[in-house]
Amino acid sequence: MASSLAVTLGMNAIFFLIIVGILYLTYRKDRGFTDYAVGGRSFGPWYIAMSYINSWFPGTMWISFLGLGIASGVVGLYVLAYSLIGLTTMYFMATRAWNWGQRFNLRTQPDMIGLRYNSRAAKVVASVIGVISLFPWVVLSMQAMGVLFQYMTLQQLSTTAALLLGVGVIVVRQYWTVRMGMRGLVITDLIQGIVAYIVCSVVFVIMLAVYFDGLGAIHHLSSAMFRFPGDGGTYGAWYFSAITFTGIIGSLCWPTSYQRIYTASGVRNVKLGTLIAMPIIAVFAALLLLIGFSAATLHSVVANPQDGWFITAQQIGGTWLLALACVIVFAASMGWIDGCIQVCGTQVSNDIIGSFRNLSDGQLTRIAKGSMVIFLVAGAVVAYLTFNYGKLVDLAIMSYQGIVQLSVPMFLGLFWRRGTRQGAIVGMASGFVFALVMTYFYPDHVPWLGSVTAGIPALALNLILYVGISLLFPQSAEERTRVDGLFEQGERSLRPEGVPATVMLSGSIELRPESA
Amino acid sequence: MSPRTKKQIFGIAYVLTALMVICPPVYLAASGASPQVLGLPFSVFYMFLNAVLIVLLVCALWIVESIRGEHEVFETTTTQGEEAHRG
Repeated sequence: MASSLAVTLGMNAIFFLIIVGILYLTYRKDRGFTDYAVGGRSFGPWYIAMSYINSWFPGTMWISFLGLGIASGVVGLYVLAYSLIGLTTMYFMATRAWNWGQRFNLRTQPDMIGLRYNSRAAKVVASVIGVISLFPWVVLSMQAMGVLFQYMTLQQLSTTAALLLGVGVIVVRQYWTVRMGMRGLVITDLIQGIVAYIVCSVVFVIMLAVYFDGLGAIHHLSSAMFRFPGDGGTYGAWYFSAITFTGIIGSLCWPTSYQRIYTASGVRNVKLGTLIAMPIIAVFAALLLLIGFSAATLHSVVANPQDGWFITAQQIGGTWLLALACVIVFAASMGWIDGCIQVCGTQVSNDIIGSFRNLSDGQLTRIAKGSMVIFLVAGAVVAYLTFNYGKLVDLAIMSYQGIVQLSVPMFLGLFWRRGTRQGAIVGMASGFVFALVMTYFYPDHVPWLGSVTAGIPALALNLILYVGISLLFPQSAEERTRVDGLFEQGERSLRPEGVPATVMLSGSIELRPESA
Repeated sequence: MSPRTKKQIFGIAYVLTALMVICPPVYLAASGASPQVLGLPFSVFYMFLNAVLIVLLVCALWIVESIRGEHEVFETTTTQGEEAHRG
């Protein structure tokens, strides 16, 4: 037992130390808040790809999503579809989003919304929605660390002790997130991403080939596992559509994912990063679900699908494979939680407090760091206090239905010139509140609407209000000119430093967001 | 091919791949385990096919943009307004 513990704990400790070592080796003092918040817009495509994937797939991929595949079959593959279609959307919006970011020094998703609508109120509302929606997910991810540490310690610790240890380790890790900002985050995302998604995919293939007879095990499953919801069962025809659609539009509503666009050193690198991320995500998610389907043939896993990854790994490869399975989940969990803590602190400082007070770069950085510490401590305390509170998952689902309400002002704001700040604020706020209310009454699906999830009717309300108000109360001529100017500027990047450019005197358009 | 035509072609392809997984009559037609394709239950094969098509779509778009030099278009001028407002 002691030697097995040494293997599982030792392998994870070594990985943790390697990450910390990389942070120190690559550390560079920030030159300002933009450096701290978006790494000085300096990263190439591989960093963007791995950083995006780390911000998108939390550690619970190996717990909840694998569990979904084990328990419910093909429905779990919705994660494959929505992740890839969501990434395609990132490709489409890369040019305008990055160019605006570069020109107007945008650091966050609400920054972009504030610029587009020339509205402080829209920016603050978007930021508050983002921070509130991330909180239950951070709490759940910290609690998932408890499950991870139970297996890492070979179930020698009580549930509470494992939770405290897991949360403690992730809190310690945040010391470097707070200190080193986005640059450290993106660099470690590369290493964590390679382990969590590329090494893991290789492990998946070996597990399938060696233990599950390739695809052989899948054929022992009931055919019901391969029916989509709506083809019999309790759900209506629109359930699968709703969860997939919400996932697609949610992919860039999460502030953590959107902010990665601003860390790239150019539009081309956002696009190439997207292109690199797509096959990695496709292979990883497809294999994850194939492992889930195959593991569903094991009785010990079926009895406890959420722990399927650890049980399967231990059954196939003993202590060493269990240790590697833990490192993989540890790497993904660290990357995901780091990103959440970083973006929440940045948004509180840059979008909320920074919208009401004129702050220097130093003050913005200090407030961001302080906000990260508060967010982290609050998350750790709530994770401990609510460990046995079943409704937390409902809160997380509610927050997902809420955050997708950002999609209307964000996507339409990027592609439709006539959307107004009044439409954005009223639509977004109404959609968010309506989504929370609907999810409270229908946490899983709305049976009388073909089983759509609660966020869909809220999204429809949001869209109707946004378009309706924008058409009924159109932009002033001045605002129209400003937005037209923004769209034209969004097509082209400024020359990188060192490349000569003619400076033309113009400046007739107000380009920086002011109060609504 | 004009930029507008390019946008329309890839826009339609994008919508079609999305419809494969969000339009119930389409994906429900692919529901179930049989027939097996490449050793996979049909619904699983269908979802994998959708994934391959999406990846190919973005690869094709990248290649077209590479040929046309459209990945990143640089501006030759900056405005005083922008300079004043950049942090």
